[in-house]
Amino acid sequence: MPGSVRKLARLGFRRLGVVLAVLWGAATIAFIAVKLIPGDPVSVLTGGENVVDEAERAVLIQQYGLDQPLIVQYAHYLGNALIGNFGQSYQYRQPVAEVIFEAAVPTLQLAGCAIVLALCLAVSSALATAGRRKGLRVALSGLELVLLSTPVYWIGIVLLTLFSFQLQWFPVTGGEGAAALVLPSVALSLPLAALLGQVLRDGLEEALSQPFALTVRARGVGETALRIRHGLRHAALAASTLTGTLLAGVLSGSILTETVFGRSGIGQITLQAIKTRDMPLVLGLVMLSALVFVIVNLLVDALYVVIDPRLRRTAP
Amino acid sequence: MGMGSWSAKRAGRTVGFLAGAAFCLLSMFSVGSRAADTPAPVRGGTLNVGLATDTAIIDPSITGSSITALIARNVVDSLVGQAEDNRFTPWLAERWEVNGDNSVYTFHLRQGVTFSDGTALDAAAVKYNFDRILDPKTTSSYAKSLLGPIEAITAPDARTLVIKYRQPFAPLLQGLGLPYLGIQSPTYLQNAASTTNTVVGSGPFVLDSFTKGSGSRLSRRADYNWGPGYAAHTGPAHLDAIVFRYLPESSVRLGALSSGQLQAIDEVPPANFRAVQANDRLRVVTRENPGVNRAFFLNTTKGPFQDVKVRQAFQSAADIASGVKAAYFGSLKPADNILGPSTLYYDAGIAAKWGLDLAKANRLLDEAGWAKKDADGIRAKDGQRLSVQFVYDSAALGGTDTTLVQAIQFSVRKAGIELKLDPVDAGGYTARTAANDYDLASLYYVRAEPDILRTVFHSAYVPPNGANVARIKSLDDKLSKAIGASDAERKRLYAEIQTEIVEQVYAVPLYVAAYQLGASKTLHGISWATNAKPNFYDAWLSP
Repeated sequence: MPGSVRKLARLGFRRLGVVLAVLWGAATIAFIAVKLIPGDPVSVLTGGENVVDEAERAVLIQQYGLDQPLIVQYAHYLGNALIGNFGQSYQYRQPVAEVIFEAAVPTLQLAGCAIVLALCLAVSSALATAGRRKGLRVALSGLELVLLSTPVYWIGIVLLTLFSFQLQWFPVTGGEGAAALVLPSVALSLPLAALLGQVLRDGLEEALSQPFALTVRARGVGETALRIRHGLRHAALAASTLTGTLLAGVLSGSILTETVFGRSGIGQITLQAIKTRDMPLVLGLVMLSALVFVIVNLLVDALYVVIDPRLRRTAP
Repeated sequence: MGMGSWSAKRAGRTVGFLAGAAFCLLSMFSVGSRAADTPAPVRGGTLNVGLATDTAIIDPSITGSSITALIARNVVDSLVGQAEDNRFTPWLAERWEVNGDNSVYTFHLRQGVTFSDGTALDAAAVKYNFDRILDPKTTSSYAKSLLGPIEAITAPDARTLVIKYRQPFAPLLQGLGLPYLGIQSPTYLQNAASTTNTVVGSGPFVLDSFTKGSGSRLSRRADYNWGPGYAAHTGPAHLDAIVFRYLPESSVRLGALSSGQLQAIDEVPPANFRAVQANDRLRVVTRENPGVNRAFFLNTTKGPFQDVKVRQAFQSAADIASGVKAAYFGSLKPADNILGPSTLYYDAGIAAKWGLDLAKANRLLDEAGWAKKDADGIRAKDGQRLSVQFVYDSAALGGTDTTLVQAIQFSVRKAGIELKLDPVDAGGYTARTAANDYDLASLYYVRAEPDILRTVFHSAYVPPNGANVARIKSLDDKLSKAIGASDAERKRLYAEIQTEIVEQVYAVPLYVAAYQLGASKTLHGISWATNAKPNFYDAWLSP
């Protein structure tokens, strides 16, 4: 047993090293990009209908350390980033971590609901139509194609027009409660569900055409049990490779969804940060998304082992 | 709005235009007549307002955001009020005295005013607010510029506040009337770790919540009894609550207004202007901005525009009236002067000094030596084309203004001037203006006090230090003298300044920017602040 523990520890360290390298790379590329893009931080800092004389400019530049050589700024920034301190947001005049934390809660609610909804829709559509019900299958996959090619933005406006302005079921003035989450989550989930649904259906169809499906059927197991207990596992393996794409879809989709529905969240903050050149906030957000991607990829790797028992066997 | 609304829009064109003009007049001149043609105010109800723009900071003392001003106006009171006709009225100050050369202001405060946290509003509280704004650590810039060159603020007793200036400073009263210099609770300010998300004042409403990217919720203060002198009523506000919802997508704002979920929205898209007018449950109220009109500013230090004749030719060749009409569907007026008509000391005589005259443009360009035209019809001199670059922030200028610029591009081409559009992002814009790499730029400023011209035409504010994108120095003396001069003297100086700007063509005025409030007809009692923002203290909703 000590041999396998050592092996596990080595694996863990290697993984941790990769994570740190990815984060350092993201931090460095973001820093370089931010410094290369033209722009004047002082004009962002003072924003709006403002008047800044030369003395005030100098004070602000010094206060934000913008007068130091680039390499010093870089070292300073990396050192602070290590302890999770990204400095003060120019436009919000609040610590970046605080701004992101405030915005993360509504975004997590939205993204969580959208992902759960997308999974339910995709799984039920795949289970219902893989390898059977040709008419429904053609109709559903056609619908999926349409949803995949439609901007979230437009889906949002159509949903609002129909369910809010016409039917008055979900007023835009409904506040921050659960009812206010319904339309945005549906808008965000539809394209995700479409993508997942297509992949799951393909995976399921392939699994059902394999010899083991015949064996299971021969044992007298019902079609539903076969699909859920045996087929879905194979399909999930194919779908889990899409995690990166889906995550990117959630992140970019949340910018559009939050804009259309006027919801606070990471998407809005990102849009504002980029629009107004709020560099500390941009850097913080880049680091956050890098971190999220790394963690999710680690989880997916672990998930492979859970889904596919063949991967648990250690090579001799 | 779909295609279906086209026929209705066409039919309602004349009516809509007249109605628009009538609303302009109504909102500009009459408080009295509004009271006469509407029934008595009803108490209660929640007003839901849709806003196109969000604000990052809700503390009006540390931001120049006009959305913060709009929201915070309901939460903080000011020392003086300014009515729609620019006269000053008592508010937190019952009366005040100004010495002969505008360098010492003495305010006598009203008694019995409290902040919503219970703190008493006295002279020490006001002094604390202004000292905080002047403190460089607060990083206030707009509010600080409104206070001017203060030497000392003293509070000899609880009800008296004295502000002394290093140099005469006349614009103080106008600045004090704006929400940026509204008075906040010193108890709150001393204890708050950060003021970016909260504000505590003595106003008719209390800020319950402010969420970036989503909106704000305000509720009425029941014991409010110190409204501004210009208001139509005294005592607490009529509305129970105001909810500001941030809805950046204009079709969503319009949909929510038409369906009755919102009772008011800002930035009605020009293309939908008539459709809203034609809806018998809605109306659009237009309030023209005072201050510097939307204008082209011509870079006088570089390229062809160094020659005043070329600038005059550009001014004479630009068909602004047609461009504004095409881009804004008649919802905004072309400008006739650098200042908007509701600005103090606006000179109506300027309009006669300039205008569209293609023959004059051609003659001036011939005289200036740009006589030859190349194959494209663009003039040239010494092998150089008469081509000028308009550098703009494409996210800030917006589609409608871009259409307007394209219309002008077409009209100046007839005189042989090539106007090139050069869209950049926000960072690119500040970089290009700071590096003096542009021929034209465009902006506008909202303020009823003509001292705003100093921000746009004083040499201290040449980029990167400000917005003097025409880069002129010749107005410094007059602008500085006008800050502290007597009324008659200011009027004369600002008339000369307006004349010089138009005659020397430092700028080509385009249109009078306006606040366009789309509102349900159930919303009554809106009055206008001098920064062209609606006031909600007198507002009420009919059931």
